[in-house]
Amino acid sequence: MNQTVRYILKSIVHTHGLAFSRSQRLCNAYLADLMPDFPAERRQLVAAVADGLPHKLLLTQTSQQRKELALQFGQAHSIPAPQALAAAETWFYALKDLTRPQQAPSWLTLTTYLGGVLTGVVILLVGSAIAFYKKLDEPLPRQQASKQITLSLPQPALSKLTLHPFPTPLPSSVALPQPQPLAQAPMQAKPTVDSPFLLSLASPQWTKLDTLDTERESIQSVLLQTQPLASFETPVRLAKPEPEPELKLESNSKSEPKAKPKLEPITQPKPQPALKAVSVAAQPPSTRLSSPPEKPIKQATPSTPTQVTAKTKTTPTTSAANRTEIKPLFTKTAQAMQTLVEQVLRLRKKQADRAAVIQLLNLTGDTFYRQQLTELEQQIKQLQLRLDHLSGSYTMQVAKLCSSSPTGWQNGKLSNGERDNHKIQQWVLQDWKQCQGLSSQQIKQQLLTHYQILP
Amino acid sequence: MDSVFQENTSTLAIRQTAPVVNLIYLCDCSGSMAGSRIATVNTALNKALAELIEFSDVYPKLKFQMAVLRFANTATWHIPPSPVEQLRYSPLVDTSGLTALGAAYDLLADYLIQVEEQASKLALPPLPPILILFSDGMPTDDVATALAKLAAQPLAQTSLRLAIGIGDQVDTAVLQAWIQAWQQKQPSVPKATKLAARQLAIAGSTLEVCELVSVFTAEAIGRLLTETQP
Repeated sequence: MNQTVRYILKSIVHTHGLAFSRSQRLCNAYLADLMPDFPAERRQLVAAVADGLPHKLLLTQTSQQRKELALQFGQAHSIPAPQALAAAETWFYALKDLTRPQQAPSWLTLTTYLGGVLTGVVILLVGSAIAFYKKLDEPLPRQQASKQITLSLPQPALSKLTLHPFPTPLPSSVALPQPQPLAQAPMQAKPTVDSPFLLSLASPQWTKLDTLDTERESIQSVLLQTQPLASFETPVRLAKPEPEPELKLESNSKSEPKAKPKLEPITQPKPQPALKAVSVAAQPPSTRLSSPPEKPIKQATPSTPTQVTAKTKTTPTTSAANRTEIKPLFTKTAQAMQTLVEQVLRLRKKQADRAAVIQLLNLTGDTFYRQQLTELEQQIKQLQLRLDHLSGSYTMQVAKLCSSSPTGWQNGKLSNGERDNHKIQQWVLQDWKQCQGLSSQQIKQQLLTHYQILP
Repeated sequence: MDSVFQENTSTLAIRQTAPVVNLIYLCDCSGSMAGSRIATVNTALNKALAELIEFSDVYPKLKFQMAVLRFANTATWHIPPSPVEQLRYSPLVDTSGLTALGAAYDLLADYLIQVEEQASKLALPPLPPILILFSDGMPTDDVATALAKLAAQPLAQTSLRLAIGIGDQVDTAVLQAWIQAWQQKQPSVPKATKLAARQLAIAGSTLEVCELVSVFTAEAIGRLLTETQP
């Protein structure tokens, strides 16, 4: 049947509803007025209405049923089968968009409905599981793309990080730094643990470490770049004591320093009034009061570490013993530094991830990225707390190392137990600053020289 | 398109210094009247106008008015009631839409009410109008209500009506209702033998329609002259 007839019939049905298809007279009048150029089609359509074909078509489910109805209609009105089929199809086309009468739900419909519901539930479960178990440590591809942009920026501080994992103790000739910058630092607010050696949240160390490079994805890459330093650390940390040949000074390093900013050569300590003061301070008050000023210095300190170091200085055979005593401290300090650097790199990585997620969140406004951002911030907070603990531990190790060194005892505040947490932080920070321009070999040499473990 | 020819019937002046013979043609202009059917109607109306002009010459004491009311989706005056001497027929050209025959009945009823009011002011009883309907007989609106309203008018009850079905798909029931709707209420209307026999005609050709219109118009005018003696 002509497509125009189909469209006209559909428009009439949509305008006047099903009532139009119930009245043969009305149908004839409308079709006569609106499709005067198709009298044959109009007659067939009106005949279909007279036969009640439109409503029968609405009750059918399959095309086969509609075909049977059309053939019956054609036989009843002496209309050829093709034309009867066309008339039935035209009526079905016009009526199919209207609301069908209520029908009993068939098994096919019910099965299709249940299948759709089950599919939706499965999709929801799988999506929820993926979202729940997805590790935030693994950045999304979009995050990676954004991160690459961030990380492509030059970060010159990386070399500084890799160069000073081992702070040199304070040289004896260097005066103790004044606590002025430390007093202005916000880290003095509240210590996070009870130990006096544990640092607070925002310490000068942390402020210094915050400028570290983040291009290194792991501590392994850092250690690979500082291979000379690693080769130096390994024998120190080993349980097997092979100290002497491994701890030899490697003066033929390829990376010679161009300049040593503010680093003065470590010199042997000289007897100074400060030594006396420290020794006196270490004595019991009664002893100090009763004994003369000269003798008690030598007599009152036989069991203190300062006395041991003094003996080491005076007796050449004590060098090996001193070196054996210092080695565990040195190993612990190296391990603490290594762990600290590792955590710093982790923190930098998390911060880079957070920046990427913030960019994605600003672009998309997606809830998923907001959740990721929240979790990242929690992880960063935990890492910062962890860094506080680690830096405190590292500071304590450095302090022990300094107190055990032949020159460290001259620093009365270190060896006398007046260990101010913030001052220690400042000392360590100053050590790091002094080591920034040095190569690992130079640091190693200074350490070995300072602790008198050179052969 | 219907509104283009719409006229305000309230401004139609009916100044009857002489008895007025109103001839009103109701023309179906729906989509089913397209083509040769509307052409047949135009030919018949043009011929009727010419005959009315001749009648006005023969009967100078009578005033002949002709009007054409078209209906499709709505009903409008294609030619408002006007003296035939001043008329130039303009054919009906637009045939589209549905068949609002009920609307045409409404409009006609309103006009007859107006004519009756004018006549009452002049203290001159109006002559019964002559109403001729051209249609293929398939209205799509509510005809019954509008026909009842029309049948309630005194002038409609005394009117002389003719229905000419055009084409082979004429709904004779509609045309029959137009003729017989109020005959029961007006027994005083004389039954002209020839006229009554041809009040309803089905015409298939233009010639037939023209002949029907001419004969019916002539007989209706003769009847008015005989019975009313203006």
